[in-house]
Amino acid sequence: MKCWIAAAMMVMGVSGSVLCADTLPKPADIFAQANAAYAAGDYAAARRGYEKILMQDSDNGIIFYNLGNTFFKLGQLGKAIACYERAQWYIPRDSDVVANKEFVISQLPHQPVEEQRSWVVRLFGYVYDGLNISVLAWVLTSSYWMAVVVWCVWLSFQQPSTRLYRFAIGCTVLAVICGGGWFFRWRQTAGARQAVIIAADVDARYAPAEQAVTHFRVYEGAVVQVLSQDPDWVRIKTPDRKIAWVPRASLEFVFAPRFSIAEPCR
Amino acid sequence: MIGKMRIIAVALFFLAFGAGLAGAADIPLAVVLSRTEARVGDVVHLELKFENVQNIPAPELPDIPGCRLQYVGPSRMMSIVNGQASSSLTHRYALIPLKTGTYTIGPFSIPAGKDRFFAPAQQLQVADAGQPLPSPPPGGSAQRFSAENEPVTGEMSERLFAVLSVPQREGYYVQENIPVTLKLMFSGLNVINVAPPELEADGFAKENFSSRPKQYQESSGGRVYSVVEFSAAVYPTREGNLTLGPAKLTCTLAERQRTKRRSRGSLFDDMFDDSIFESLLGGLQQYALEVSAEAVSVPVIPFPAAGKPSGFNGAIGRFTFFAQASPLQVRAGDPVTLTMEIGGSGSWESVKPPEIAAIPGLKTYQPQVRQQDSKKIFEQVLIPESPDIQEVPALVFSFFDPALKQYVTLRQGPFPLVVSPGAVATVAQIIEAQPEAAAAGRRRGTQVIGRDIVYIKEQWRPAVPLLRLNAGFVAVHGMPLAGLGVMLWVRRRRRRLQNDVRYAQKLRAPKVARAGLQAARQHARAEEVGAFYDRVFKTLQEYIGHRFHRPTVGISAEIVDVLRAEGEIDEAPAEFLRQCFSDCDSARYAASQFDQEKMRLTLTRLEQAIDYLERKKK
Repeated sequence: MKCWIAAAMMVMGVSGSVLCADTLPKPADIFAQANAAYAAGDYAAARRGYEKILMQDSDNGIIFYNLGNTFFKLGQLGKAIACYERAQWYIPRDSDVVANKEFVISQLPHQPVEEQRSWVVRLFGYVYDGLNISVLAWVLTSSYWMAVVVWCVWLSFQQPSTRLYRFAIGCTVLAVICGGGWFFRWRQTAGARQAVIIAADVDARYAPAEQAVTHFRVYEGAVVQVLSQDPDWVRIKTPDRKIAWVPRASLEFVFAPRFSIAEPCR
Repeated sequence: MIGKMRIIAVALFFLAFGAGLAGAADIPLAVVLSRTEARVGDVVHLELKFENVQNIPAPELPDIPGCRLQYVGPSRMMSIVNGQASSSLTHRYALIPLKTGTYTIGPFSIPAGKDRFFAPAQQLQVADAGQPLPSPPPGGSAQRFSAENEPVTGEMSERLFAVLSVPQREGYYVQENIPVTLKLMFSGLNVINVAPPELEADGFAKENFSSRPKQYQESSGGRVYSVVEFSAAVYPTREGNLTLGPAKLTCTLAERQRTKRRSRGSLFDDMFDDSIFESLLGGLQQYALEVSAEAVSVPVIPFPAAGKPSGFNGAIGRFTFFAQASPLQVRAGDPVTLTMEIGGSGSWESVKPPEIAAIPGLKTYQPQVRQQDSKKIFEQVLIPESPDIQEVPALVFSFFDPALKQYVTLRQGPFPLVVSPGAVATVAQIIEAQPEAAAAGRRRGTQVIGRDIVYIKEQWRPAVPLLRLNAGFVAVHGMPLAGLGVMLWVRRRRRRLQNDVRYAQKLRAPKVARAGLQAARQHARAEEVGAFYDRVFKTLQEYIGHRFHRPTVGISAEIVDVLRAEGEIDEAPAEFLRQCFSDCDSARYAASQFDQEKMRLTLTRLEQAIDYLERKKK
């Protein structure tokens, strides 16, 4: 029994050391300077400061939030919404982010169409959207370990009880669901699947060419799904499920493809 | 017919066999053509007969220009004559000549493993459909794709073809609705199961062809054709000289098999008329065909620059436009629904909602679109934010009429609005949160209402490290899974040991042998001859009993011969075991003749025998 406990502690210790612990070289100073610039109304300087921090610490939802505010003050509503989308990814339950995003959307000259969701999707979305990838990963890891331990216990018995078997099945199902949720969230960032229109208005065309016929017009601030890309054009899908091509320069990806499964800890 | 076919088959077999003798690795292949003379459209059966083979996949024969070749299926035959069994595998093909001439079919060289089947080429003479054959086909009934009493003349391509067409015009416009028809025309043939065509349309948006085509008859070039007509519409998406097509469709040619009728006159013949059963029970033989229609050129020209309205956004067709706003008396901040209905005919994809001129204080939302049969409806929500808004501006819808070749502009509105002041402006009432005021407000549980975003966050908080997958993370979390796998394996092994006695004994045999040999060595060192050979004998019994699942009691030298006869052990270990048993027996009665050297030899033999048997077990 002691051996088992020692082994478990060793594994936990190793896994703890593997979890990345970011160390930041004085971003707090830059943050204070950028905030001061914002307060003084020098939004361009504030923007530079926040972007400089993001070069070192791209996982900080607060920076994205402040940068979103700065873009709003600079009159770039599309970029502001993109920043709030990123901020929500890291701090999904932050009420300031939600409020500012709604406010900026309300200021758009053309209100984007909202996606129609069934009540089931909305219910799951309410829970799921409030969890960032880190929380999802912790839940996944916990449920995974629990499932493994319960299965090990079940296997160690000569005549295991049905209740234990059901519990093991339940843990496994939970781990699979969490794994699916985690994978979906990871894929959202890894595949550059979401973008925000940053141009005032864009002709969305049937084909990736300037001379192609316009299918519809999409306006600044619209959050669209990215289906495919070529060097100059991006194929998008709007919340009302219309599909067309827009110039790459007219949108900003919420997440560029930068995460990878083998990425070493920073 | 069968007799002649047999003669041809035998002749070809010998020909092929003779040719095969020339090449050492060639095996003769019997190739049978049901006929050597045929007319255009006749079906000639080609059979490749492989003798004494287990399985050979249907060979892919090369295309024969002017003929259509289709694989029909395999058939296998087995015969036993005077106790000699032989089998053959025949792959059957249907050959349909489409043009007159002399066709060379083969030679055939079909690889089968290290060998190769070979047969020389065959000749097939094809005459025009209207001409008599030099010699009538065997059996007296030609198999033809022809309806009864209808003379069939001409080449196959004149009797079955497809035509793709669009209305001829100087030019079409981008997004214009272009009707496309594809006609499958056939004369004197039974064509069934015509599938909707597949159309290549690069540069066009297209509708699918209707699944219910029109069917009628049409006369062309002095011949009556049955026509199956599919229709669809395409919309060019760019300017230029575009190519529409080719189009392909698949259909089935049905051939009526004529068999010799029995003599008429009996009651049963009348009751069981062949024609009824032929049609019900497969009197038709079917062959799948693919027919393609040539591409057509479609010139797509730009919209004329002259008279182009400023609001024109590519709509093409002939449309009507109606709009209404409701309600027209609202309070500031209340929504007004603007309904725009565009009816008529044309390309609906090209119809976009008319844009509302931007007016400060009139907020517009993106319209919702509904498409009905012959109209497209846009419903747009507008919110007048102040009483200064007095109207919804006029709406302008412009389109290009391709029939008139001119732009048409339709107007609706303006719609006068009466906007009374609202109680409180409710849109975007978000906190203006200067840091101190916001913090104080939150402490007091009150909100400062304003029209700005929440202030930036001033408290620096380093990012919470995100838990991500990396190689170490995966490796650490893979360990318990591996442990789980090991536990599963242990559990399964334990269960097998409990339930499978033979397996458990076999696993135990080497342990028993090791323990016995260890004890025997000790006896040998102590020069205890009797105890040594007793121990060796007991070890032999226990090892053989466990290893071969036999009762240990009663095992003696005879067991070696039994195991040898059953093929359980080879001769070399059997000989060692025999000698061991023999030494044990001898030592029991004349122990004084055995010294340490003999004991060492016995021990070595025993070790070698056990080692050999254990290696064999693995």
